[in-house]
Amino acid sequence: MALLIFSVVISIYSASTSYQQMRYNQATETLNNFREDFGRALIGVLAKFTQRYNETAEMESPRILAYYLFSYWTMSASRAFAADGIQLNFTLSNVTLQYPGVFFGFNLTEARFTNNQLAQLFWYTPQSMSVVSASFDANLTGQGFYGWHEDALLLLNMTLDVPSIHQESINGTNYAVLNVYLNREYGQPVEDLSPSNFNIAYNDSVSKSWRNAIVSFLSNNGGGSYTLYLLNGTGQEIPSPYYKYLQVWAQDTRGIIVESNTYT
Amino acid sequence: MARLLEAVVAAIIVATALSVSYFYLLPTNPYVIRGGTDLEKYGFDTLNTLARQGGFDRVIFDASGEIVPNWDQQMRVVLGSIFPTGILFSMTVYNSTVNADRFVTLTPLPTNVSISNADASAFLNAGQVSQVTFIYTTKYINAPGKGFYVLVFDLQLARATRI
Repeated sequence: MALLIFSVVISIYSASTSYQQMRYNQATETLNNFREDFGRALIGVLAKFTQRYNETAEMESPRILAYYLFSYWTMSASRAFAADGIQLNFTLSNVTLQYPGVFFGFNLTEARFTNNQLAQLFWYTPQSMSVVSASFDANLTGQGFYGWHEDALLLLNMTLDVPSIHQESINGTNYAVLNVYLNREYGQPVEDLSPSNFNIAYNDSVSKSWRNAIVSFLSNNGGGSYTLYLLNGTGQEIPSPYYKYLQVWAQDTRGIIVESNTYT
Repeated sequence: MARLLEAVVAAIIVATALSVSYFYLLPTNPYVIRGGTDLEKYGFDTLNTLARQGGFDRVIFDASGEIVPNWDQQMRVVLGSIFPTGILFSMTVYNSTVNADRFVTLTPLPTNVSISNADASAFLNAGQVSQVTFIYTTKYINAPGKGFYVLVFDLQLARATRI
């Protein structure tokens, strides 16, 4: 008799587990879509934020644009999943991005935080970063699913190896050579850049102004490491010692821009 | 007497257990109960793969962020090549916009042809029908001032024959 009761109890348990599993799958599909698109939206926000800042060199309108786009996405997502009874709460938090340290000769003296901002730029140093971060809590009441929490942090990080800058003669042409490292969130290396993804400026000693240099070619060393071979805008060498004082913009294939300087 | 009492209690437990499990147990034909869920997962997986590979950006938009005129025909070809024979599909794509009063409107993208491989009556006669709602934010459009579209996909899938 005990065995009979035991087997019946197990059958109830397995039946209810199967039932919960079927419900869980439905919520999983919806949440996976929501999570992934949250990341896509934040990448779009950061791309537009950095592009606008690069055009205007002031922070007010890029920030307004970033919050507008984020708000646009959150309202659209709520509308799209209204039939699932979705309940959403978005928050911004203070995430530690970097602790103080020395990066290829650059001494980062203060830790970097997201500081409860949607998007942040840490530019104009040899180690620079463009960051977007946000979190959300979600319930899918229509599917009986509650309490999902998700944190998202997306970024583009560029480090200039300042001590590596030197001049190198190749086939009679004197190039300025610079090593740069790019990675994105979770330390993933940025592997798909070409010379058109970089913009370089150097200080011209004659006109006392910033002039564009060109990336004549680059070497993709793997792991997000690139060696840039630079000439001035007319294809001539950049005179010494000014090749050492560079501004470097990089834009990845997601459209996110980061700017670094070889000097501080 | 004790054994009789035990038998009665056990019988009550068994009857209760059976009546409770009745509400949770699957129908005898698992294909029926799983069919709808499988279609739904199939739809999500398909849309998710297209989204991750940038397929929507390439099919719907050109490099300058404008909607390609014959995007609906291309989308129909793409879906037709993904879904096997016997699976009916019908897709509507909405562009989400927010007006000054912060009211969200889902406007269907303009189409010249239906993004479907069957007419509406085929879905009515189908054995299993599932609906997938999918959100997609454009990712690979870097045109200045454009490229941030939030699209909502409404995909209906059905099995062509009754089970």
